[in-house]
Amino acid sequence: MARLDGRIALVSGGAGVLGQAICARLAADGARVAVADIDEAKGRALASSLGANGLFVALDVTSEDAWRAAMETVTKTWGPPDILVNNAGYLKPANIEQATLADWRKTMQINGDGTFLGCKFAVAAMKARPKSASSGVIINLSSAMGIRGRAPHPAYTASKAAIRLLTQSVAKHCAAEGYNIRAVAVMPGAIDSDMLRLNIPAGSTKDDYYAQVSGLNLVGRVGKPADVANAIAFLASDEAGFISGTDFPVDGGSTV
Amino acid sequence: MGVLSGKVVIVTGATSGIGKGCAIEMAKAGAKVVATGRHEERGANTVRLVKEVGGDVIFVRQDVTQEADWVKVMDTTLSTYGRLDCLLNNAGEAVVKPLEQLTIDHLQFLLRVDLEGPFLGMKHAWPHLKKAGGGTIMNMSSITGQKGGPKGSAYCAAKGAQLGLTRAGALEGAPFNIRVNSIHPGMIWTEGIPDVMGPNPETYRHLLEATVPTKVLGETWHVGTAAVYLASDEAAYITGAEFNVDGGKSAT
Repeated sequence: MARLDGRIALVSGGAGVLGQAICARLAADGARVAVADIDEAKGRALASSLGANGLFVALDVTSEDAWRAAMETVTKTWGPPDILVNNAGYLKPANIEQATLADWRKTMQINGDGTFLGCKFAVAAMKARPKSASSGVIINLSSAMGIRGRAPHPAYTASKAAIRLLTQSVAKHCAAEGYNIRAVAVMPGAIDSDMLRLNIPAGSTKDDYYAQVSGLNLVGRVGKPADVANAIAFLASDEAGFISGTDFPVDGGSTV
Repeated sequence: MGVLSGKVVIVTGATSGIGKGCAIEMAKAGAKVVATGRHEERGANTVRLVKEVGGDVIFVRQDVTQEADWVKVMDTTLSTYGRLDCLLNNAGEAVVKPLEQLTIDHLQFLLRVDLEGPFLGMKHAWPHLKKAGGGTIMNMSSITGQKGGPKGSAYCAAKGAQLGLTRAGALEGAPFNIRVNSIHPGMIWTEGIPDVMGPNPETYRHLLEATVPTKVLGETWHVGTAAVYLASDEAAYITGAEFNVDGGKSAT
C-alpha cells in the first residue's frame, strides 16, 4: 500500500520541469494526478504517461474561471482533490531599475494571484472533509528567495514572500474553522529547472553558472527536481500529519 | 525495503516520549537502531517495542552529559553494526518556571543536557560519519527554541543555543557530506507530560489542545516520521534547516 493510495492531487504548472517531477512522484506514491498547465501539449503528454492515474486540465492560474473549470473537471472525473500543489510560477530577472510595472504585475499575478486562487478553490473543495479522514493538503511553492532578497529579483522575491505568509494565514484560518486541511510552504533553493536557466547571465555558460550556484549552498550542487518532489510527497502524506502553517526548506543549506 | 535500509542510527533519550517514537519509526523504515538513555528498564521496553515492529535494535545505557558514555555508545555502535550513518540528539530536559523562581542551577542543568549533550554527540559522531562518506545529524529542538515562551527562560535559552550548534554543524559538515538539521516539535503528547504539568492529564489535556491551532496534540510518531524523512536520502538536499512539527503552532 503506497502512502498516497486513493488520493487525488492537482499540480499547477504540472507540465514544467519541476511540475513533471512532482506529478511523477505523487503518482509513484499512489495518487491520481491532475496535471494542470497552460501548455496543453506538454501537459497532455505527461498526463498520458501516467496512464489511468493521469489527467490533463487546462489551467491559467491567474484566471478564476479557469480554476473553477479545472476543479470541476477533476471533481467530475475522480472526485474533489485531496492535495493541491500550487507550483506554477513566473520569474523574469530584472533588478529594480530594469523591471517595469508590467513585469512586477505579471509576477504578482502568476505567483501571487495564482496561489491565492488555488488556495481559495482548494479550501472550498476540502473544507467538508471529516476529521477522521486524512487531512486535505495545500502545498505552496514559495522559495529560499521568499526569505532573502536578491538584487536581480525584486518582484520574484516579493511574490514568494507573499506566498509564505499567505500559506500561514490559510493554515490558521483552516485551523480556526476546524477544517481538516493542512497548508505548508515549501522553500526550494536553486533547482535545476527552466526557471534557474533563465538566470544564466549573458556571456556565461550553464556549466559556469551552475558551478557558481553550487558554491552558494552547503550541499555543493544545484538541487534536482526530485529533491523538491520528495519533500512534497512527504508533506502530502499522513506521515506529515502534524505539519502545517510552516516553512519547509529544500535549499541545500543556502539560507543558513 | 524502507528508506533507511542499511543505515545505522543512534537515538538518544529513546527510553520514552519522542525519542521512543523516533526509534520505532526509524526502525520501521529499515534502520538499525542504537537506542540510548539513562534507564535500563525503560530501555528494555523500547527495545521490545522496536522488535515488535520487526526492527533491529540494541540499547546502550547513556547519560548524554558524560563524555565517557559517548565513547561507550560509539564503540558499541561500531562493534555491533560496523558503521554510523545518523545521530538523533533527542535526549533533553525541560524546566518550566517563572524567571524569578529559576535558579542558575536550573539553567546550568539544562545547558548540560540540551546543549552539551548534543555538542558531545556531534563531536563523537563526526569522525564516524566522515568515515562513512557522510551522514546526518538531527538535533531535537522545540518551537520555543525559535520563538521563546513564558516560564521558559532557561529552556528556550538552551534550545536557542542548540540552534547555533546545528547551524555551525551544517556549515562545517558540508564538505564531508554531513547534513545537520533541527526538528522543532510543538505540543506533542508524551508520557513525560505529567512530570512537567502534574498528574491527572484529563484535567489539563484540553488546555494543551487549545494552544494548538488544529486543536490536536501531536503524537510521537508524527515527529518520528519527520526524522525518517530527514535522515533518508530523499532529503539529500536539506541541511542547516529547521523543521517544525507543531500542528501550526509556530504560525501563531
